[in-house]
Amino acid sequence: MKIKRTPMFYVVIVIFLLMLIEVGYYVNLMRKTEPIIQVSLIVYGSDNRRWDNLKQGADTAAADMNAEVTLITMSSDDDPEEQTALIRREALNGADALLIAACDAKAIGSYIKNNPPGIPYAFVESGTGDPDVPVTGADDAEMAQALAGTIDDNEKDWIKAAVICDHIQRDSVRKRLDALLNTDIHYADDVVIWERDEQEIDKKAQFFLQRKLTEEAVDVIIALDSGSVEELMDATLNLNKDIKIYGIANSSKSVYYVDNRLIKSLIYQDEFSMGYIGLKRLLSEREGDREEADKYAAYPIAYGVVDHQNMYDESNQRLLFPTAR
Amino acid sequence: MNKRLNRLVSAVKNTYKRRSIQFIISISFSLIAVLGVLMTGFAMYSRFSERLRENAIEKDKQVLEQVAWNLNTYIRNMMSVSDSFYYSVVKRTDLSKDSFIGEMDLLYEANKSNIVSIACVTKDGALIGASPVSGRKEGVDFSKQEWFKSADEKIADIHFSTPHVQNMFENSNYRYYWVVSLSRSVELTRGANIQRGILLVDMDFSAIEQMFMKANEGGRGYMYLMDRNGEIIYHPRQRAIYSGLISENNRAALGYEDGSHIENYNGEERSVIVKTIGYTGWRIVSVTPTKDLTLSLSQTRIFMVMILTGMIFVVLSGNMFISSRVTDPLRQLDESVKKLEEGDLSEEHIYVGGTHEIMHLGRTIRSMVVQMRKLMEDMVKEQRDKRRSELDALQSQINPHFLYNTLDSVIWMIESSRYRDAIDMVTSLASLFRISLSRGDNIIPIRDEIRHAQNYLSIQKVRYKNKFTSNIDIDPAIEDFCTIKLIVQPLIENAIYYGSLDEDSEISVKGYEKDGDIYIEVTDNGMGIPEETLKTLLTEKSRTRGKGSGIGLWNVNQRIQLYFKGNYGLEIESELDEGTTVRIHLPKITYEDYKKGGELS
Repeated sequence: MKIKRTPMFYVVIVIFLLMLIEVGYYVNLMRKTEPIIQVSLIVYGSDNRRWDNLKQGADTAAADMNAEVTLITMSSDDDPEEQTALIRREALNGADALLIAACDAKAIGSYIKNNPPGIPYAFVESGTGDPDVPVTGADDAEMAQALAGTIDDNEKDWIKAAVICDHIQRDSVRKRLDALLNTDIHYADDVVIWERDEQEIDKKAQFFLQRKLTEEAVDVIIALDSGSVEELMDATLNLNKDIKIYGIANSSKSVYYVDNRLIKSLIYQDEFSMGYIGLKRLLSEREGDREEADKYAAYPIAYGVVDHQNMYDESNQRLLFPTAR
Repeated sequence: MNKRLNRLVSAVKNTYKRRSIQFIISISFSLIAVLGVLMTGFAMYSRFSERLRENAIEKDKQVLEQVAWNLNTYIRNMMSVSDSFYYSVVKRTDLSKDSFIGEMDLLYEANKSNIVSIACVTKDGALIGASPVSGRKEGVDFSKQEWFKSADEKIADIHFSTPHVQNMFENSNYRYYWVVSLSRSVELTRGANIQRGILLVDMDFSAIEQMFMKANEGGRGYMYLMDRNGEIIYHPRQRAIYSGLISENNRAALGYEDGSHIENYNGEERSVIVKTIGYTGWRIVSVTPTKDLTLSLSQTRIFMVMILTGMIFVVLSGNMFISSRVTDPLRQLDESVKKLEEGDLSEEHIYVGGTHEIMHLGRTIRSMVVQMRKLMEDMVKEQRDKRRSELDALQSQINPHFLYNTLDSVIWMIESSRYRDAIDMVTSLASLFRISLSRGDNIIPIRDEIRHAQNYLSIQKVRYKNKFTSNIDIDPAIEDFCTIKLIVQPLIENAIYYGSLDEDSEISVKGYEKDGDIYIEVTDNGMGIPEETLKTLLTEKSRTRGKGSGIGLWNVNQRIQLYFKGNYGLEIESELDEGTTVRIHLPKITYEDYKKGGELS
């Protein structure tokens, strides 16, 4: 028997289908959670605390962008093989983006060029030297010149300065060194370079520095990165020599030495901003927001010249001492 | 406008009129129900969203109150530490003879989870004592520190600093503490001399930080703390603010009264709740973007739409089911009545079902149909009986005319002493009546009918003094078949009366079987019947009484058709001046069969 369908029947069927669609949409909406973007922050060195400021900045930016930052340090200071292995591992383990502080500009740059990780990446603090690869950090040359200017301001007498030439495989250190050596500012009458030769390269830098300190009399020693500053401090602690130390560093240990007047003056980068801007820039590029990425690329990372006198100034203490978290 | 409205109303009315009851019920109820559901839904949603917003603000207020209470308690505790040390220890200690370092250590140990250090210095900035015991940093001049200057300027108050890194004592392990300094002016006793000093309690900023971090966990917005000058003490993104990466509307919030406010900052509308902490004048500010206040509302909106759709589905399905339940029986009953209109009087086709009322209606209609059919049958029977009675009455009309004429002839014969002829005539008359009676049967064998016709002819011949001759030729084979009585005699009577008899007139009666039927013909050679008269002979118009017995051809024809139905009856052939043949067409039914079954058709 043919059943006669009324228009109301079709209306009910349509409403029923509508209800099914709504239920599906609702269930989907309830299940739907934006996947968190996993960012691996691969840094050189093995000291987590050294990167507290950078990590805090990256975390603050990540909170805005539904991302999560994992700090990955190395077991050694400057092993490019280990860092490339970490880059490869993180890319394979499902990281959505990489933020890297390159331990060796040449090696890491070459690796990245030949083995693109397949996910967005950017560099912070120290890049690969390739102008096409984005790096977020304070202007290294400017910092070196600021340091030279500070020495010039502080040291009025004839001086002999030694520049520790260590970790120059890092792009940031190399740039600082180049800028310092080529600056027009007269920060010393005689500048010597302390660089480990091939026989000493595997030995602790502290021993090399102690030897140099006993062998060669200098008035000022300049260290261009946190590692060098700390190694120098370790080397000088028991030598009882009146040497003025200047440096560019970002570790709490170096700040401590400034506080204790063992370091005369320190150039200190705003690593919080570096982490914040670096991550924003990386994720903006990942999302294809070129305009936003360019805006962050143009953002200048600040640095401060601190010494025992001004380190507790409001602006400097905010820069030097990360608040408790 | 009114015309349009009226046209619309009348269009709706017309549409309604043309539609079935089920359509009207389901559409009307559905529209009303859907309208009700939607109105209820929208009212609920509106109320709910407003309530949600109010609840969110209320919840933020509660959290803020809780944080304010915790912070106030913490500050009061710190003030208590300061008070108790000052009034219980410093005031009672003569520094010329004694020291309060021990009590200071005890106090620090009791509160070290919230205190970084306690120190007391003279108005010249000389350290009297500090806990925990550690070396004073080289070159640190207490008198130049903010906490010292504040306490020195306003000696009656307790002062709270903004967060800063403590810079007085040597630290080990490169650790630095962010503290909020609580400082006050105190009186120091040295023998007979009373001199001023400053008591400092450095509160661990991380305690405040933890307090706010917990409150900010998982919330929609965030809370920050600022001092009475609008300087940020705590902010969840403090370092980003310090670095100039983001900004906060703290300066504007400074102008807000305690309570809820709505502000627009950096293109975003925000709900701001402000609460001032008693003694310090610090202000806790809770900030929630208004879009986040109703963040879950979009899910709720979809949920509401889903529920409304479900309700509408249930309502429409229910309406459809109920309306079909109510109207289907009516529709079926309507179809039954339509069949009834078309002439189908069988009561089993009348639908009986549905609700009690409709079932009752169906039963009533069925009962009416039964009664109607009975009435119609009764009416038909009554008409038939009536017609039979009429025909019987017509049939009985033969007797008086004929009897009168016959008896008149008998009288005439007796008067003229023709006794033999009179006897024969009376005998024929007696025989005629005997056959006429036939024990009341209308159906008789053809033999009897023919005998009856012979008797009639005999009588009429006497009466008409043998003016005509007659001839009867009946096939003996048909004599036992049935006929209706007194159908041949009227035909002979007509032939006699309308045949214009003379000496050459002849009336012949012939009976035979043809094609399974019986035919009896009465033929005369009279003047014939005009064609126009011939056409009306078997119609109702011919029922006029003329000369003769009054039994017309119509009556004979009607009687045959009444009893035998079908194509039986009379056939008339006539030509003017040639004569007329009237043929009786009868079915072939034996009288014996008729007697057994009693059925003629």
